[in-house]
Amino acid sequence: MSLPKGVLKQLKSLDRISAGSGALKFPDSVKNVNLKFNKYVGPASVGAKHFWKEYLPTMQFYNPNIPFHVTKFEPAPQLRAELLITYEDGKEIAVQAENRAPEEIFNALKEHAEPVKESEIIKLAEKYLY
Amino acid sequence: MRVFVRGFAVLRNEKQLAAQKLRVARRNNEQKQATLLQQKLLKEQTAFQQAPHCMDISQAMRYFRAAHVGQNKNCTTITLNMRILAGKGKSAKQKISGTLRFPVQLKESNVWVITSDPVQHEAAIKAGATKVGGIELLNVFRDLEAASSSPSARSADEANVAANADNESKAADAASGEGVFEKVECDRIITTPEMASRFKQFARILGPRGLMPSPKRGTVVTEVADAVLEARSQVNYKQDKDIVCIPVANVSFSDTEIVENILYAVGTLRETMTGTIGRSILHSCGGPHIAVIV
Repeated sequence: MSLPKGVLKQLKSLDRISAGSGALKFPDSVKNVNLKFNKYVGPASVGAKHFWKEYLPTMQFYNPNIPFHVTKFEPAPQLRAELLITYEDGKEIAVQAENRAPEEIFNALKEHAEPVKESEIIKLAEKYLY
Repeated sequence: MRVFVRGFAVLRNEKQLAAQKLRVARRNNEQKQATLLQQKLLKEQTAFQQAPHCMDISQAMRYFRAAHVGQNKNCTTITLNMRILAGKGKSAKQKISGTLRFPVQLKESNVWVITSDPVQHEAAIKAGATKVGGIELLNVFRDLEAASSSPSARSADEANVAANADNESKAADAASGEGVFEKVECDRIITTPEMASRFKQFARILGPRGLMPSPKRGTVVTEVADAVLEARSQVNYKQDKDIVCIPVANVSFSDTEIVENILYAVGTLRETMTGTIGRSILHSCGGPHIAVIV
């Protein structure tokens, strides 16, 4: 079956969200997830910013009921880039994101969430590519 | 009989007969082209409805929320893009345009009400006007005009103002123009007829910003409350070629809210136009394009 003009491009952009790197499923007890990094992105927080753009959309897609926030703070000595997971009972877990590559942040986050099964990952453009 | 003979004689002119044939052929060709275009667009609509990126609103919103995670909600407007399949007759060539008042508002617009009537002040505040005042509110525009006047005039004004030690900060504001420009953050100004003539002196400032009150635009009214309610939640739309784009929601909307707005927009369009709606796409700035069935 042939697709209308321009649709394959859109399917690829949808797949970038649903089948991107970052397919993790958080437990239901998670209340929200907050990624914090420096407003003036330097070498220390550039990994956190790339994590936001590359990994967070897919995480939000597979956790539609959990709000994901991104906070950019003014530079201060006590503030560091981190990913804060808040649970419903008030417990907070901070994953360090300062001076870390996006892959390292993702690997650290895997301890608190489960990867999505291969069968549950939505790939729309796959069968039209070849 | 005489008239008929004359008419018959005219039609037998070879040149005119050829021209008539040409006209008929052209008309037939136009009709054929229009039919072919309609068939093509209907085919496109069917293809879009069967395409894998055609999904229900809740799934589409899941993609939009993921695409715009962590972004400011004001930067994530979702637009409904519809192709209009024109009907037959003269009305087919008319372009669709109008205004909508959505059940769930897309953004809060700042409406200023300037009137000398205290009763209207209360009504405007109840209706949700951002700023309400009388003649004293016009001073804001006077400052704005002074700030944006010619550089020579501005420097003369500054010299006068700087002479006064109490107004030093005011002079700095006037020189930069920033302090004054921040004060006029409004999308619409509504006034009553007795005040309308006072705005003429600020036409040079308000006109280019689309803020100049006029009875034709419905911003010079006797009953302020209705005008404020209308101005707060109006969305304009206009047909460009055969496409109509209407901003219907942003990412922070719930599924039911966006469905309400889409149904309202589509219902209003169907009432006003003679044609039908072809393929419909939901898209956001920098986000994906998703086909929906409306």
